[in-house]
Amino acid sequence: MLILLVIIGFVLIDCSMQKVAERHEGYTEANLWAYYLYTDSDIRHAPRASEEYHFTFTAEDGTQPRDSSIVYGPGADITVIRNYLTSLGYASVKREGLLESWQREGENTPYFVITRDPQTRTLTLTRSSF
Amino acid sequence: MSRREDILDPSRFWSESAIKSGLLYSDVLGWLDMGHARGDDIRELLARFAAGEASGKEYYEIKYEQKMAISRLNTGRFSIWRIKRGRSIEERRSIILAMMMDTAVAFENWQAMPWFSWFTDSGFSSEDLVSDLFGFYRVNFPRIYWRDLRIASKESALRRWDYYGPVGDYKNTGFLPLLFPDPIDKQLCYRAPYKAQLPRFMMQVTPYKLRPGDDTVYRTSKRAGISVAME
Repeated sequence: MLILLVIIGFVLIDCSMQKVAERHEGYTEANLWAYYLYTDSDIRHAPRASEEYHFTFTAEDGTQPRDSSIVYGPGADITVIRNYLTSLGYASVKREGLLESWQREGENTPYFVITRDPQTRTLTLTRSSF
Repeated sequence: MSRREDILDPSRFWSESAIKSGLLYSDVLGWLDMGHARGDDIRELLARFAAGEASGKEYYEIKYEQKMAISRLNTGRFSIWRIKRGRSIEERRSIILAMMMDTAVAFENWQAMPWFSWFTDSGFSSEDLVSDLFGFYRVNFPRIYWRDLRIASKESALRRWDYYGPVGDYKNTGFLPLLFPDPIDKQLCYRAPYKAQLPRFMMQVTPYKLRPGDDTVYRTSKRAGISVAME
C-alpha cells in the first residue's frame, strides 16, 4: 500500500514537473527534478559556453521528436559548442541562416541543432530524438 | 500541445526551412505546428524503405509508430507493413503517406482518450494532422514553401488566438485545413472556423489503397497496435 502511494506520488510530481520543464521560459539547474529527469544527458554534459544559461524541454508528440535544449545567454562561444558535438561523433550537415544541423553519419536521429537568435542574442543547442 | 507564446513572428524568417518549432498561421493551411511539420518521421521511413529495397529479401517489414511521453510513460500507436521488394520511389511515397495518415489518426484518437485528457488537449488538435501532412511534403518534395503558405503576421495570428481561443480547443479529425478568418476582416458576416481544401502542392501523392488479396503491400494486422513502455 505504501509503495503504491509512493509510486502515485512520484508520478503526480513527475507530471507536474514535465509541465514546468515544458514552459516557454524553461528551467535552470536549480530545479533538480527537471534537470536530472527531463534533460538529455548530452545536453546536461554540454559545455557551459556562457555565464547565463537555462534549459528547455519538449516531450515527444507524434511526428514531433523529443527536444532537450540548453539556451546560452549573450556572449556564448559557438566554437566550444561545435567542438563538443564533434567530440560526440556528430558532423555539421547543413547551415542555413541562423541554424546549423549536426548529425552522425548514416543516422537521421538523434540530431543536434544550434540556433542563433540575434534579437535576444541567445544561442540554443537542441538535441532531438524519437 | 500549443500555447499562445509559441506563436512566431514570421517577419524574422525568410523561409520555413530555418524554423524547427513554434506556431504559425497560414492562410491556406490554418494553424501550423512547425515541430510537427519537421518530417523527421518521413525521413526515417524513406531511409528504412531504401534499406529494405537494398536488403535483397523478397519482402521487408516497415514499422511506423507515433508516440507521446507522459511522465516516464511512453505510449502510442504503431502498424507494421510488409512490402514486396521492387517498389518505385512514387510507390514508396504513396505507401508512406498511407502509413502516416493511418497511424496519425489512430494516435490522435489515442491521445484524445479520456484517461489522457487531464494531461493534454492535443488529441486531434486542429493543427496536428495538417502539420504532419505538410511535413510529409516538405521531405518528399524539398523546396521553399514560404510564399505558397501565405503566413499571416504575428499580430494577425495572435488576434485569431485571442478571438477564437486556444488552437487545442478546436478538433480536426481529418487532413483538411481548418481556417480561422481574421476577426478584424469587416467583410465577414459570420466569424467561425471552416474546413477548406488542401492546396494543390499538398495533393500530389495519393495514399496507397490496401486491397484484399494484394500481395505487394499488406498490413500485418488490421488495427494499429498500442505501444506502452516505461522509460
